[in-house]
Amino acid sequence: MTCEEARWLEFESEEARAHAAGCAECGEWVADGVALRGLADEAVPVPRATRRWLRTVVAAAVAAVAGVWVAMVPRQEIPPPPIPVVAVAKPVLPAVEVQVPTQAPVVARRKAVAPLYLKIETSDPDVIIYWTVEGGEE
Amino acid sequence: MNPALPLQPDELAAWVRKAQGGNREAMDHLLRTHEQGVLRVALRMLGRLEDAQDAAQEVFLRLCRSLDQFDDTRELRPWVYRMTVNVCLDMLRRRRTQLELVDEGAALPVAERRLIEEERKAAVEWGLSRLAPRERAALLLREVEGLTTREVAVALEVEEATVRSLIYQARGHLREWVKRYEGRVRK
Repeated sequence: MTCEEARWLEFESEEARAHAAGCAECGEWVADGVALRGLADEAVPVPRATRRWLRTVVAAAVAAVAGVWVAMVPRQEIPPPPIPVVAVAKPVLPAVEVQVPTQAPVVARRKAVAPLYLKIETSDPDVIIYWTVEGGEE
Repeated sequence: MNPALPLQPDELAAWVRKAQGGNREAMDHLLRTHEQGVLRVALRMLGRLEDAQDAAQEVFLRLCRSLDQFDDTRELRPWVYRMTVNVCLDMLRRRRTQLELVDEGAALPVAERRLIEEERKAAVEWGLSRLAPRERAALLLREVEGLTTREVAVALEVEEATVRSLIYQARGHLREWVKRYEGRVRK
């Protein structure tokens, strides 16, 4: 195995590792890799301000998500407010018994009355008196 | 529950679903679970703690804003790291200059560490800061954060073959920088 092959394999195969064990330059590559991975153990300080900021971000994000959720939930139709009822005191009236007719009232029809004519003969045969008498109230 | 403990994918998906439902505790838990990883990557990408903290805040803000669009059948970790790398690349672009190079005087005190491992670590750290941003991101995610090649591909939005190539190149460049560092220290 050549140096180039071992490096392309990132020294992850047995053969590549065996090559690195016997090659000074590839051994340096392996040591660089170990040092690189060691950088992961270093904790980067997070200042308190950043932590506070993070909390703010989280709160804002949660509020935003909640806002989206509220916007997505179908809204119920809100009925218009009822018209205020103003209580009006009704005058107290004496109870009146009202009889509800069970039958339609019968209205007596007035009979058609023919006018009465009176013929009065006088002593003079040329004079005759006629009286018309109108029908009055029954 | 201790956020430092690695979560199984199912557990993580459950927390994601809770957070998507507006559960504050779940959201807080997700942030804490990824806090250190995001900060570590941001710090190595940007080189300054203050910038890394700014980047982490931006990442978590984006995470909170877009979590409801996240498909919970996917893995959250590569998605978070994708945001982290993108935020860091944006910040580097805005900065328009490469990382402030650590001068030799600043690197030398580290050389006083007697342990070889510590010295190697310092050299690697210094070498990382010299890599091109995309190479650095690939190496950090793969080697430091322990993502699989597939997860790095998702995080960097490239093919897996591209990730392997990026890592191979990055390791070669890193080796060159480490050699230079060691050369300076030994002088």
